[in-house]
Amino acid sequence: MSQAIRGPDAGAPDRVGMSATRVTLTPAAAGLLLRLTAIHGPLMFHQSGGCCDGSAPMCYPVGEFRVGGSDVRLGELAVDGLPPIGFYMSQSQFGYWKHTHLTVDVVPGRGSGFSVEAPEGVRFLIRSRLLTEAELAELDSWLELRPPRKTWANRHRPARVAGTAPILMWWRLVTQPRRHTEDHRSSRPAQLTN
Amino acid sequence: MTKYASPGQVGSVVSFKSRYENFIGGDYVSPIKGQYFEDSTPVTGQAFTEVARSTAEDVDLALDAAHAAAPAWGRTSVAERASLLNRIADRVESSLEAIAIAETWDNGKPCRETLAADIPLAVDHLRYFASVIRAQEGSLSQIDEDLVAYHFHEPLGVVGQIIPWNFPILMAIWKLAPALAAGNAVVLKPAEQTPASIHVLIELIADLLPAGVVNIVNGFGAEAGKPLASSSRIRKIAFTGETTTGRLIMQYASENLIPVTLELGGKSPNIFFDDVASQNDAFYDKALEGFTMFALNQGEVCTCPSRALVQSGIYSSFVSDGDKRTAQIRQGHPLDTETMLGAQASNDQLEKILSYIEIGRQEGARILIGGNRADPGGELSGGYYVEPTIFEGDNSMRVFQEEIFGPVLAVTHFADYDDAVKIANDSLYGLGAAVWSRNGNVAYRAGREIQAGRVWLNNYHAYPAHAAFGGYKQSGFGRENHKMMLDHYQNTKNLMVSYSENAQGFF
Repeated sequence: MSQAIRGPDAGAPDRVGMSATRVTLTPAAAGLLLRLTAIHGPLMFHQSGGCCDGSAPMCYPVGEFRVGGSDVRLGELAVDGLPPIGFYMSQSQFGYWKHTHLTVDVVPGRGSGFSVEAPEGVRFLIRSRLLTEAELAELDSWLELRPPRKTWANRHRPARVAGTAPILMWWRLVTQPRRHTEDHRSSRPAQLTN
Repeated sequence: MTKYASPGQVGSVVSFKSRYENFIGGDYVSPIKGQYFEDSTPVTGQAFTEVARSTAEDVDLALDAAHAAAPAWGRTSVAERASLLNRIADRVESSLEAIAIAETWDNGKPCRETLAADIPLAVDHLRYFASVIRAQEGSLSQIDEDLVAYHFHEPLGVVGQIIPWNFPILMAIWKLAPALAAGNAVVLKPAEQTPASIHVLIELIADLLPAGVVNIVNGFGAEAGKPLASSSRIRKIAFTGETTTGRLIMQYASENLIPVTLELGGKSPNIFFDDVASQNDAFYDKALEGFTMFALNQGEVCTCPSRALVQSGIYSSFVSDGDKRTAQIRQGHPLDTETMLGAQASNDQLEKILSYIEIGRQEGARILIGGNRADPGGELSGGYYVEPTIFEGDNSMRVFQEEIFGPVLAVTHFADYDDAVKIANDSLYGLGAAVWSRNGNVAYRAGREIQAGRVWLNNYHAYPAHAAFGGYKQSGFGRENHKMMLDHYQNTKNLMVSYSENAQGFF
C-alpha cells in the first residue's frame, strides 16, 4: 500500500492564492478509476516513455510499482469517494514535460503493458496543453521551495507512520499545510475538466 | 498490383479460426477461467477472432509444461536444435504468404512489408541462430601445467518472453530463436493488440516442436504478463516495450534475482549534413528516402527516425524535397501490395498520435505536411489511419522528445558538427540514429559520438541478422539479432580440473 520512497513533489501545495495544477482528469477517466479501484484497491499512475505503449500513463495498484528518488510526483487526481491518486513520472522525463499541463482521459483501445484498465477494453490517454505563464510562475515557486529528497521520503510512509512522524509535523510547521496526505482517508471534491 | 482478399473472404490465402486458446505442452488448451477477448483488425476496426484471456493459473500450466520439457531439450545436441530451427524456417518460408497476410490483418501494416521484410527476416533469423549455435565453442584456460579451467555454455532453463505489437511475429522470432538455440524452454506472451498472427505460425509448425519447449499464453499484461514476469519459476525475462513497464519488470526480476533484457524504444535522430545535397544524384535520392523512413511501418518502430536534424546550409531545399517525397507515400488498404502506409495498430495508438499532434501545434511547431487522421474510405473508414505528418520546431519540444510511435516526424536544423551531435544526444533514449554525409570521416566520427546502440551511416531501417541491436541510456540493455544474444540465454559453467596426483598443500 505504501509509496514510501520517492523523489520530489512537483505539484502545487494547497495554500491561499495558489490554484495551478500540473495534472487533472476527465469525468470519463474519473468514472473508470472508480470502477478500477473497486477491483484493484487504491491506484496510482506512472507516466511511461519510450516505444510501443510508451508516452502513455500506466495505472497500477498503489505499491505495485515502486516509485523512487528518480521520480517526481506531479500531483494527485481527485475523484469523489476515492483516496487521492498520485501521478508520477521520472525526473528526467519531467525535465522535458514540465511546461505542459496533463489531463488523464480514457479512450477505447486494447492497451498493453501492465496497466490495470486494459482488460476493460479501454486505455488511459494523456491530453496536454501548455501551462500559462501565471501557472508556471506558481508551480516553479513551489519547485524552488521543495525540501531535500530524503526529508520527503519520510513524509510518504504509510498513513499509520506518516500521521505520527515527527518529520511530517516539522515540515507542516515550517512550510505550509499539505492539501492532501497519502493516508487514503482524506478525500476532496472532484476537480474535473470539462 | 495485387490486392489480397481479406481473411474470412473467399479467395483469402489465410483464414483465422474463430477462437485461439493457449498453446501449452504441444496442445491447444482452454484458459482455465474460460475467458476470451476479442481481437479486431486495425485495417477496418472489426473483430475477427477471439483469444484466450489468460490468468496466473494458465501461466502456471505453461510453466509446468516448460519445466517438464526443459531438461531433455537442454541436453539435445546443438545439431538437433539447429535442425529444428532450420525446419521451422523452411516451414515458415513455404507458407510465407499466408503468415504475412495474417500479420498484416492483425497489425495493420502493409502486406508489402510483411511479405518482403517481416516474415523473410524472421525466416533468416531462425537460420542465423541455427548457424551460430553450431559454430559456438566453449573455451579452456590452462591455469598451470596440471590445472585447466573449462568453460561450457549451458541453457538457463525456462525463460519468459513478452512480445510487442509492432512486429508481432518478427519480434517473437527475435526472442525465440536465440532462446531455443541455447537450449531453453520458453513461455511467451504476445501483445494483446496483436495476439492472433503468431498462432497462424504456431499451427504450421506445431508438429515440429517438442512438447512444452514453446508455450504461448495470451492475455493482458496485468493478468497474464505479471504472473509470468514475476514468477519464481523463470530464469530470465525478456521484454520489448516502454520504460515504465520495463522498470516494473526489472522490479519483479529483482525479487527473483534473475536477469532481464529490455528494449524500450527511443527518439532516433536522423542527421543530414550539408554535403548530402552537393549533387542531385542517386545518393541525394537515397538520402531523401532516408528522411522519409519515419513513415515506415506507420512509425511504429522502436528506431523510427522521428527526429530529422538538417544542416542549415541545405535546410530549406532539403526539407522541401523531403516534404515532396513524403507526399508521394501511398496510404491505403494494407492488403494492397502498392500500399506503403497502412493502419496504426490500435485505436488507443491512433488517439495517442493525434494527442501528440495537438501538443505539437500548441508548442508552436509548424506542420509542413499532414497533421490529421486519414480516412481512406470504404471499409477502411473504421480503421486507424493517420496522415504522414512533418513538424518543424525545436528539439526542446515534446514532439522532439517523446516517441509518438506514429508516422510523425519532427524536423529541426543544426549549425555544425558539434551542434548536430549535441542535439542528437539531447534525448533520454539511445536506441537508433543515422548520419548522412558524403564525407566518410564525418559520418564515422558522428556515428561514434552519438549515444545510441545502432547508428546507420548513409542508410536506415536495415535489420539483418548478425548486426547487434539494442539500446544505450533509457532504451534498455541486451543485444538482440546477433550471436551475442546467445550469452543472454546461457549460463557459463566453469569446470576447474586438476590433472595432478599430488595434494594441494594446504592441510
